[in-house]
Amino acid sequence: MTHTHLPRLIQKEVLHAYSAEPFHDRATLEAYVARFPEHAEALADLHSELMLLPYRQEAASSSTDDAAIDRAWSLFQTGSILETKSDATARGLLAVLDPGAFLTIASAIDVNPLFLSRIRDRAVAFATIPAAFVERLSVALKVAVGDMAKELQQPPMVHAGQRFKSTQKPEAAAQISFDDAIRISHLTPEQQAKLRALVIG
Amino acid sequence: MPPPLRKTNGQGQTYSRRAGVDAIIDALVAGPRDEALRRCANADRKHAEYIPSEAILHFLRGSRLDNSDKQFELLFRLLFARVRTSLKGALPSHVYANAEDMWQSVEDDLVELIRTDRAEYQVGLDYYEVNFDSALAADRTDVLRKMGPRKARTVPLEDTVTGEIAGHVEEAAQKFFAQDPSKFADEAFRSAAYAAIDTLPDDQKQVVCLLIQGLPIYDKDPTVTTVARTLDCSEKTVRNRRNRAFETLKALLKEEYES
Repeated sequence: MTHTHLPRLIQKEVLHAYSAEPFHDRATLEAYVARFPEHAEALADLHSELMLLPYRQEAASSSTDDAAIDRAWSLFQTGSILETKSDATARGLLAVLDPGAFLTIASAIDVNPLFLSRIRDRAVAFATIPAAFVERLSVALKVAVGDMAKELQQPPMVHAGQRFKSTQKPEAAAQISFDDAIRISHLTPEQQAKLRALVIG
Repeated sequence: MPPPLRKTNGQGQTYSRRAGVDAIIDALVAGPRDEALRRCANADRKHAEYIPSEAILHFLRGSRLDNSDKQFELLFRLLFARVRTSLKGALPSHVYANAEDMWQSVEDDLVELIRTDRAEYQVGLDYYEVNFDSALAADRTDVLRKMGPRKARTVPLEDTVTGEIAGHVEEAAQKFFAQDPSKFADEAFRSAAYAAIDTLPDDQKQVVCLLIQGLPIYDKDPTVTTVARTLDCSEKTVRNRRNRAFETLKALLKEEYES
């Protein structure tokens, strides 16, 4: 067992950490369940999967696999699946929300609209945003984590209001860190604490 | 030796590849490139020349440094052929109505990881170099819990009049799962038993795997990891799932059970 001091992690990170353990025995499982009780059932699922995996017959490859591989390659090359990429994705998953839906998402992930607007405008450097926050946002928006991450990695956006008001070509402001965004967005102390807890040390 | 991985665990220790993988990578690097690619194309795990997916991924990541787009595409396609085969076997379309969506979700996230790794080293990809199959199993578990069907509830095996579980079933099930560990140490029995367990409904499969691992169903001591606590359900629910699973396994493993 190696993970005795892991900070709070999202499900996929915990599962990946468990998958990388040299042994998937009772002691390892017990240690992970004790450390991550909120992911106990997911760990039990993975434990079963790893136990049974060596005894499972591999599926036969088929001609449809080629299409799947082409699709993956296309995604790699373009960074998107053209056939499934919606206009909403192209414009920005948060930018297309009406004000009511925007507030609903902010409430769902327990931040205020100012903080979420900074995320929407990509005013926060992606490298500083915890994976757990990206996943939480993707769940609230019902989109794939990969799509959410991809969008947040785009350059900072000049918001529509700024574009219309400017007499000169407007430029997006420099990005700030996730921690700075927490600090200056008038979040409640509880909201700030929850967001800081997502930052993996 | 290939460059070490960079991902560290909670104690700051760097992850390392499985035994033997570094040597395979070294041998492939030392030989002709065409030969290495030919061997990577062999998907038969039992073949002596089979190259583990961890080594293919390592080459894939390394190819960004030698600017060989053709080699990169070839390795990428070989790797994702293996990924698709694995997903089809573990999340079969005859069991899951949205299997294709789940396969694509796992593939999309892995593509994204590889794509961003091309520009800047992504430590998250190191998990797949530690143990590719296990990391993919983690992905499948994650996506199944997010996109899969809710686990069907096992119908109890209770007597319709007394409401009690038939004593002989309870006793036999307990005996079966608590049997001599040497029974499961026997490769032939284990192989047949695990293949049968894999056919069980997910909720029963969970219980059975935890019992075989030796976890108690219930314990008064709150610090003990039990099946009931791990699965956040009652002791009675665990027993019901175990007994149902036992009835199924007994039928599937008739010969092995009786021996």
